[in-house]
Order: sequence, then structure tokens, then C-alpha cells
Amino acid sequence: MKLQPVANPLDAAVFAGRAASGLSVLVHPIPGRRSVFAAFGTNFGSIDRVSGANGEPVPEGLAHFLEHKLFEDAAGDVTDRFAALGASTNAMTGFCGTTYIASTVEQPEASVDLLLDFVQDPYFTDELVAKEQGIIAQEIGMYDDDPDWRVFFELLTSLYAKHPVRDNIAGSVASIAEIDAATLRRCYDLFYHPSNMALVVSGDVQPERIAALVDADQSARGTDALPAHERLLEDEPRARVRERSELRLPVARPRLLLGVKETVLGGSPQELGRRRLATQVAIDLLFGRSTDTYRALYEDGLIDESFSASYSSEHSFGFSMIGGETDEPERLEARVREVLERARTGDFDTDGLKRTRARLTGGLLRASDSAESVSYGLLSAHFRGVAPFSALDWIQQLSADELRARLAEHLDPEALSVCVLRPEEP
Amino acid sequence: MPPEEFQTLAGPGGLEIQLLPTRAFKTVILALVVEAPLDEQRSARALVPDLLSRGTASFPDLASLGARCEELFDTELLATCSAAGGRQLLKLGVETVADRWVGDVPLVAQAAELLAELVHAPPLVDGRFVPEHVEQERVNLVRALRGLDDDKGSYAVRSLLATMHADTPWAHHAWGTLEAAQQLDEVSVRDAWTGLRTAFPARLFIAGDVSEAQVADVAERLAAGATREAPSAPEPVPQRTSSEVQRQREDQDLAQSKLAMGWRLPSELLPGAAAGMFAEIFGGSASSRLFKRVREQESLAYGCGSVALPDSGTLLVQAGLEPGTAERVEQLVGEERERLARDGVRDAELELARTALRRRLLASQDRPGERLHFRLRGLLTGRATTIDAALEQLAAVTASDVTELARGCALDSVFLLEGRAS
Repeated sequence: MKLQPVANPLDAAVFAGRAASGLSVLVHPIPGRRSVFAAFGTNFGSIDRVSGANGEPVPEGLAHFLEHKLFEDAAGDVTDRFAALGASTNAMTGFCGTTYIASTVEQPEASVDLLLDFVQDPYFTDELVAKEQGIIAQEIGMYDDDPDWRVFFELLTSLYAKHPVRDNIAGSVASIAEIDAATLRRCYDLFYHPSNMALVVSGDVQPERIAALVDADQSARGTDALPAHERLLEDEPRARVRERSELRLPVARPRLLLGVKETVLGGSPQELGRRRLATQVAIDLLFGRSTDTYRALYEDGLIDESFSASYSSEHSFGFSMIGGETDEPERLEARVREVLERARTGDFDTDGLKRTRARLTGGLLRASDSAESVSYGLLSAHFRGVAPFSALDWIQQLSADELRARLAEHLDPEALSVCVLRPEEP
Repeated sequence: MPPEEFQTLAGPGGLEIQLLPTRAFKTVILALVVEAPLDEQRSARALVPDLLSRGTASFPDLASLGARCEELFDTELLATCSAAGGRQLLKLGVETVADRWVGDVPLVAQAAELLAELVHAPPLVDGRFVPEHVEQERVNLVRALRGLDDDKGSYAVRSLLATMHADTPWAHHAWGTLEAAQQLDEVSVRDAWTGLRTAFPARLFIAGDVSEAQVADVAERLAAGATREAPSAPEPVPQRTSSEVQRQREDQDLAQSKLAMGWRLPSELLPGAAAGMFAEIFGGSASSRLFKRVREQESLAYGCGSVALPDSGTLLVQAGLEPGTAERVEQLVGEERERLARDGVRDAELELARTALRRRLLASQDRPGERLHFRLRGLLTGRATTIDAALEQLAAVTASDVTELARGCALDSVFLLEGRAS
């Protein structure tokens, strides 16, 4: 495999290539850096729930369960082998992907080798699956006690009727009880094929040595053909499920979270990327710390440091989320709705757009000090099918008119929902 | 290559400068860390960082200050209040980008100017803070103090430490009490600000690609003609003589119970790195004894771990559990501690822990914020202040050091926040 340089406007080039097996490789050399960080990701997350070819569904929480189970094989817990190399390891499952990481200062190549090994050598037994069900049930319980997590997912169930983004990433105690070793194996074979995966290595490493290491690993395994499958999604209505919902938990402070479901989906990776950036910038120009809206809400005591406004989108789903802790959820909701409605009809101050360009550049420069941040960014760009650092080009092209048009289509009143979390009554 | 290290320099007006000159990062951090007593006035001081972050004389409100930060390439304001033993630490700083990465815009100088205004030139009216701003921040502090209980895991740990270290500074929160926060007024807050900007000991941390002239400039701006006291010496570890275990239980409507256990570590064994090694072997990672026994063997918890807090002589164990299983988990934790004390630590286990801690120390060199935190902690506690010194301490830890800690530690307090299933 020959890695090719990819221009990096922030620093030295990144190197990218693809092994004969289909595994993509990206290397970000940082001379002089002590630690080496590697991220091995698969394009399989909690929303990938239906594989069409054999008609068998993927159970809720399966991607996360797989993530847990890969850490154990016939020889025991792989964490101990990383520790013996002076490395640490971890993993995380999101809506769209699962990522396994290794971080080390002393034996980077051996650590990358072990990372490749354990993710690609699954070992599933029903006995180990049963043990893991208890551990994951505890993890689900932990998130159930997190008020912010609960509000976030409650709101997603108000926005989405069928799309699996509405379901908890770890699944439910009932759904994980249905998972067995055979189901894990079937889903592993579908979604952990090298052509569906990518490895990113960042640190003081030589790209050609990482390429050679990956080539040796992949050629030793041989590659089966990717089983025929299709990721199907049920038709999701354009409108939200319900306009509002309410939760009660043992908390001291109420919370308000207002969500807007994205109704414009799909398109090429570049179209999706530009749309994502334009919406993120527009939402920030509406509610960011430099806006009069933020100042007024803060001065009126309706928000505090916990307030945030963000936008996320992928190919099949997207949403804005606005809110935080507040003692007056109704007043805050009314004020946020007022801002959104004005923005939808074009009453929207875009003076901050020029500053946003400097902000994005500065933020990316500081983030590029972190091998972890760069690695996750490269992995995300790869799976989204866009060139790394594209946002720096796109931000220069964004116009005020484009932002207005974007908000006009995004802020559909029928796509808006609110969740209020209140303290339990004594 | 030897690690680049902080240098201590004498700044103007008693300001101590901690300088880490390095071209390894694009980020530059300028942070003033003021050290005050954790006394009855701490609520007033706790309010100051947030109050100052609302604006400066030149950028008098949140919106204009936010816009200025965006113009300065997303310069981030740092404004925190924390506690270290009997000391309250107030941090005001900026995190920005070195000039050479933004086309030689004088960004560091502009960020330093903004920081100096933030500390010394708030938007006063007739020499007073804007009354509405003080009132809003007072209400925010009261709400934040109430909101602390919403993170149930942290609540369990805080409750445990308050019991374990009752009547010592380690029992107190840096933000003070609800009652004190409710009574704050403009005068008390202004007095607190005056003390912070002119009198209390302070260190100026500068990390990144900066010139000598830039260091001198930011030091002059932040000293602002004041004369400060020198930072205080490290404090002794609190002692407790009673051997009775203090137990507390609270029931809430939770999916998971939160267990916190506090063990008192023998003070004579606390210098050096042995306590960190003990905590690492006991419950510091996925290779540790508690993780293997409580999570992997018995599936009782998603996480069960330990951490050493040597400044207060504490070994903290915490776990999130299925309701009704706390007694069993407490028994397992006790058994593992006894096994370590009785049978000692295996060589392989010791080296695994040493390697893990060594990796964390070396990896921290790649993060300017962590470098600052490590240095500050060392200066406050009398522990290692350089990576090399910390590595030497780590290399010197023996199996018998760890076994002695396991034998010498005593369970002091247990706090259980029990979930709904029981």
C-alpha cells in the first residue's frame, strides 16, 4: 500500500491510502510528540439496525454490545495485553460508528498491531455474552440516572417516530437480553469487513512503517467477500412525533431542551457537509455567546453556563438542540421560539459571519494540538466521504443569503419539539 | 530528548511567573491563578471569575466580549474556582493560538490585553460593579450550588468526603455554602475582587510559543502595580484518631445505587508515588483487582474503581451498582484490600501499574493544560513539580511500599446513595 499526502492547511500533510483488503489508512505524523494515538473505526453504529439481504434485524444495542465483547477473547481481557505494552485502550459507540482506540508512548507499532488484532479476531460464546448482559445493564442504569442524557433521548423520541436514532445507543435491558453469540457473529461479519473500516494513527510515526504494518496484518488474514447486505430504514415522517413531553427526576434544577428535526436529508457527502456547516454556523449566530439573544437571556436570568445550541446531522437524520438548566422553562421556551420564528422568516443578523471564520480557524488550530482530536476528525471525514479539513474551504464560501435560506428550510414549525425536565414532587 | 520544563521567575509586585516556553504547541495559555484561604468569604470570591467574565471596560457585556474572543481566533476565557486543601484557587486566563500560526497577527499580545482588562478593568459604574450583574451572578451561584446534587456519583463522593474530613478544609466546597451565597452583596463581592487582583498570592502560568518580551508584557499588565503576598507552603495531611467506621445512607428514586468508600492512608507513607501505585493496582484501571473482581467476575457494576487523594490522605473507592448489591460490593472491596495486605503485590502487577502511570505522565507532556495542572498541583502540595522528578519517584516504588499502604490503610467512611429497586 502506498500512502499519498493529503494537503493539511493547518499543518504538515496527512497521509492516506487503502490496503488490498479494502481497509483505509490515514497517518498524521507529529514529529517530537511523546504519545501515539490510534483509532480503528467501523462504519457501524446504533442506527444500523436493519440489514436487508437476509431479512434478519439487528437488535437494539447490538453495535454497543459488540464493542464490549471484542475486548475479550479465549485468552482473556485484551486490556491486560495493552497494559503490558505500556498502552491504554478504550472504545465508544455512536449513532453512526464504533471506534476502538489505543494510546501509548513506548511501543507504538506493537500497540497498533494489537489494536488491529483484537478488533479483527472476535471471540463470542454464550457464556461471555450472558456475563456482559449484566455489565451493560449497569451501564444503562448509569445513563438512566443522568438527567441531561435522559432529556436528550426523550426529545429524540419526540422528534423521531421510526428512525433508530430515537433509541438508546446501549439498547434497553430487554433488547440486550435477546442478544446471543450467533447474533453477534452475524452482525460482526456484516459490518466489520475491512472495506467498512478505517485506521488512523497520529503521533511521531513514519507513514511507510504504519503502511507496512497494516499490509502485513491484512495479508496474513486473507479477506472474505463482504456478505451481501443493505442498510434499510423505514420511512420517517417529515414532522415530529409530538410537540412536547415532560420528565420528572430527582434533580434540583429543571431543564429545557428544544429540538428541531432536520427535514432536508441526503445528497452528496459534500452537499451534506456544507449543509451541516451552514446550519451549525447559523444556529451559532442565533444563540452563541456573542449574540444579543444570549446576552438578553442571560441577563434575564433564563439561562446560565449550561445553555447550549448545537446542530448534528448525518445522511439519514439530523437535529438542532437548544437549551440547558433553567428555573423558568416556559419563559425560556417562549423566548427561544420567538428567535427561531423570526429567523425562519429572515429576521436574522449575519454580522458575525466574518468573525465565525476566524473562530473556526482558531478552534481547529488549537484542536490540532491534540492527536486525539485530529484522529477523530480524520476518521469522521473519512466515513462521511469528504476530504479532511473541508470545513476551512466551505466556511470561506458561506454567504449570509445561504444561511438565511438554510434556516428558512430547517426551522419548520412542524418539526419542532420541546422536552421539560422537572424535579420530582416532594 | 529531555522534557521541556516550567521555569519559576520572579515577576513584578510579588507575582510568581511559571513559564513553559515551547514551540511544541500551537496553543498558548496565559493564566493567573490566585490563592486565597478557604474561609467564610469564599462564596464572595467564588462569584468573581464569573462576574469578571461578563465583560470589560472595553467590551462591557457578554455579547461584545464574546465577539472579541471570536475575532481573536476563538480565544477561550478560562474562569474557574476550585479548592486544594485549605486553599481556594481562582483561575482567570485565556487560551489562544501562537502568533506564527495566524499569519503573525499579534494574537498573544491582544489576548494578554484582554486578560488584563478582564482581571483589572471590569465595567464599573461609579467605582462599583453593575448591581444587576452582581445579583444575576449571585442567583447563578445559588442555583449552581443547588445543582451540584444532580450528578449523583459526584454527590455520593462529596457527601463521603464531607463526613470523612469533617471539621477540616477538605470537607468544604470551593464555592462556599448556600447560606453564604444567598447573602452576598455588591460590597462583599467588590472586596473579594480587590483582594484577588491586588493582595492574595498569585502565580502567572505561561505555556506555549511566546517571546521574552511577551512574557514581560503580560506580567506587567497582570501585576498592575500591586504588591502580593508570597504563595503559602504545602499543608499537612488531616488526621483522625477514631477507628469507628462512619456510615451514611440516603435513598433516592434512581436506577442505580452509588457507593463511595473512604479509606485513610497512613501519612508516613504518602510522600512519593506509592499511594498512586496502590490505587492503580487496587482499582485504577481495567487491569486492576476491583475491576476484575467486581465487574468482570461478578458483573455487579459497570465501573468500580479507586483513586488516591494523597493531599488529604484518602483512598477513594466508588462504584455504580444495581440497587440491593452494595453490601456484597463492599464485602468484595474489603476482601481485595485484605488480600493485597496479606499476600502482597505480584511483580508483574507492580510493573504493569508502573508502566501505566509512566505512560500517563509522559503523555501529559503533549497537552499544555495538563502540564499547567501538574505543575500547579506540585507547587501546592510539595509533590514533584517536574516530569523527571515524578518519573524518579515512580521508579523508586517497591512491592513492599504498596503492601505497607494496603496494610496501613483503614476504612473511615461509607456513603451509600441507594436506588429504587431496594
